[in-house]
Amino acid sequence: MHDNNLYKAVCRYVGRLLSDEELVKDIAQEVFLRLEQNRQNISHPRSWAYRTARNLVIDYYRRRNHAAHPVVVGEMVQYLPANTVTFNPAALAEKKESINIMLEKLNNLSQRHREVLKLKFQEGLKYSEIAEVMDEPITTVSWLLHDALNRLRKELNVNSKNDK
Amino acid sequence: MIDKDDPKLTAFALGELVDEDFSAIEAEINSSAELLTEVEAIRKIADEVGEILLAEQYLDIAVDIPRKIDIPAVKPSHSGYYVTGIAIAMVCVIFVTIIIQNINKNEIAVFRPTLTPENKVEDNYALPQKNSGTNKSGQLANLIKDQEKSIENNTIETLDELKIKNNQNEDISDFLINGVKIKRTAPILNYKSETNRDYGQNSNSTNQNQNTNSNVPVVINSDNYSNDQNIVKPLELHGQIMCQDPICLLESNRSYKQNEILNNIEKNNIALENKSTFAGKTTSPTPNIAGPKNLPFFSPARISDVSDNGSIVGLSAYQVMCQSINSGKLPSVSEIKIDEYVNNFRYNYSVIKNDQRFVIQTDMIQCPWNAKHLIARVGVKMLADKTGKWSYDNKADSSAVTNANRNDDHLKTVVRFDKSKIKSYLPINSIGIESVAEINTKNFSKGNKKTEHSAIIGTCDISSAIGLHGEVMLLYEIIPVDQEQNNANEKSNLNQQDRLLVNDYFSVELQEGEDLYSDKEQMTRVDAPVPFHRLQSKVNIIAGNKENNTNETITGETQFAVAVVLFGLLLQNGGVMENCDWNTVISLAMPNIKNNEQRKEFLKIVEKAAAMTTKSPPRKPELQKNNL
Repeated sequence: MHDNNLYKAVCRYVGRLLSDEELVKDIAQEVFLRLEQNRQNISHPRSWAYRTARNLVIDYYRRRNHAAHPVVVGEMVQYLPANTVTFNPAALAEKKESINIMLEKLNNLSQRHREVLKLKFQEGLKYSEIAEVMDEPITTVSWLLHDALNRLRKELNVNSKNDK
Repeated sequence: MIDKDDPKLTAFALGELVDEDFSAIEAEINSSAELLTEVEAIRKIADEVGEILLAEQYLDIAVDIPRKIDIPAVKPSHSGYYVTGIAIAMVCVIFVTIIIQNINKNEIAVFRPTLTPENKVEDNYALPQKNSGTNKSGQLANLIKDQEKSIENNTIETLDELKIKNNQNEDISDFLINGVKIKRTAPILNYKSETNRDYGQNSNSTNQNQNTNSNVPVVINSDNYSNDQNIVKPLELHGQIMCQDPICLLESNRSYKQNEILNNIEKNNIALENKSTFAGKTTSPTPNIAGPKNLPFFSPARISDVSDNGSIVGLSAYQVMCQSINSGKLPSVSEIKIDEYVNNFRYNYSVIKNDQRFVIQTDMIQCPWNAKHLIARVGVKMLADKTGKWSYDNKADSSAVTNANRNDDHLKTVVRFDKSKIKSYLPINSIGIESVAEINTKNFSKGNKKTEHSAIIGTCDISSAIGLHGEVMLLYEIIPVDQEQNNANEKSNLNQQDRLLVNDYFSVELQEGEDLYSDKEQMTRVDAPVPFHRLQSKVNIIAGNKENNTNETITGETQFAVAVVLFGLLLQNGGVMENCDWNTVISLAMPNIKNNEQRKEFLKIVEKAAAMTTKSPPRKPELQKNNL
């Protein structure tokens, strides 16, 4: 991916996690500074950039929300923002009703499920890249995605049965 | 053989399988109608999810790789080559002279292994010497190698490292970063825990805390970079640094311009090069460093790598406002965050008992800017971690939803902690104060649930306040329906049904979130509904019921909080509000100072703000003796 496109993608990704424009820019710039400095040693710049951005956002939220508490390895995900899904009403105005239901189901999923769904469908990352970003084995990513989609299907099926 | 629950099926449907895996799974799927249907179903749901997620809102910023990424290393001009040549020649002449002198003294090859302090090369950019050299030229080469290595590795020499390297006890107040000498400009404050923060109430302890931790990120200012506008300064309140966090500092010092900084860096790099060459000092590769490397404080994350020391981030708006007013400038409207102002103060809450995780206090007072309205206060004190072990299961959720549930004739408001339903990273400003009815309408339009008996009337992010004090205060302006009906001229976009939600009863019920289970537990509990915990009995307060407002302490705290809100509103409105002025703020706050330094400071800030916005400043507050 060309650097400019990757930069835009990282900005978009961070922009979904943070609401402060300057902070988004700072983090995106930091990601690219590090990328430039370590380019020789980075084999997958795309997933590396996403992972660095994610870690910087976690750093930010960790300091902001739970500054006094130690970080427990493996629980880093708790420092990410709630990652709930909101949508642009103008973009999907025609399907508002069904979208509302889907949004509710999506937001009922756990943080990790939502994150893996977002990385897959919003950022278009592959399993291997998601695994690198989230620092999880590919099998876990595969299971999380499978489980998330299954849950959504079940929830939506229950909904449609109730409607009938 | 794969079954319907095999993740490989999803991977296949999403095109993640390749080569042999793909062929094997494809063969199996083609031989089974059930699997084929399953794959189609997965693809369908994936399409739907993808469509929604792609339409998700995000902060759309102008995205282009910033100029600093594209900045090439500064190359010397043609004149620079001449200058460099002359400098090298001068260095050679000096060496030859030294050698000749040594020959004259019959001291050939009797070079000392280390440079003495007298002979030490005066170089602003040199790293401390090592003892590995065998002669002077070798030492010089080592110095240059050290610098090059330092720059290549992007190392940051800390105070302690410098001391160790130099093997000396003298106090070094500077850092070397990428070969550039960096000076401390702020004392260091070590925040060990939340409880160590005394907010200036104990100045002695503050002094003792300073300069105790050399690993704390320091606010730094390059020697070679002296534009005052671009120096990141610490936030100060009550004579101590309130915020040491780089992000907070950067957020509060947005005035500097990136392009100007980068231009300065380019100039400085050239100047550095010329300086080191002309002066005949040890040649340093510093001038070849690209611009951004010279600014370790430029990016918040860079310093965060050095330390993740706690700081007061998230409630920094109050400090920013104080700093701004103290420097004679009113904060801009966008900087005014009333929710943070309110929650910057500590309030008097009940003690959390052993079997509780939350304490809530509710109160209502008359709205100072509209006598017909009421201000309802919901104060929540949370024991975030009952066990002492901070873990996902124990942590309190970071967001609150206020629901208005209309059940029969009773309206109750539920403050619920439920992270799964809250957009905690969106800028929602309902902690401070917001018309309940307005929140109501706004959230309906966002697609939140609205049923016959339940409606969300407010959402807010309380994480920062909870993170700092374990407390959060929510204030709501209550508009009685009867009054609305009587006052038809009042502007409002609300329909009658919405107004009913805020009528008559205002009760609080605090409940633990539905989603407090760890991810692992949730995974193993696919079909089991997550139980709902109710940890606190509800407290009903009927609007205007005097029985619930007799507690003077609580009411006084509410008054002070409303004073802070009013202060913020006045700042937003340039000091002009109907029925209210700065004196109203002071009269509300004054009786509730309670010998609290932070609150006294607040009064001073109000005075200054008033003097800046009005020709005639408010009356000087005369603190009562019993308040001091």
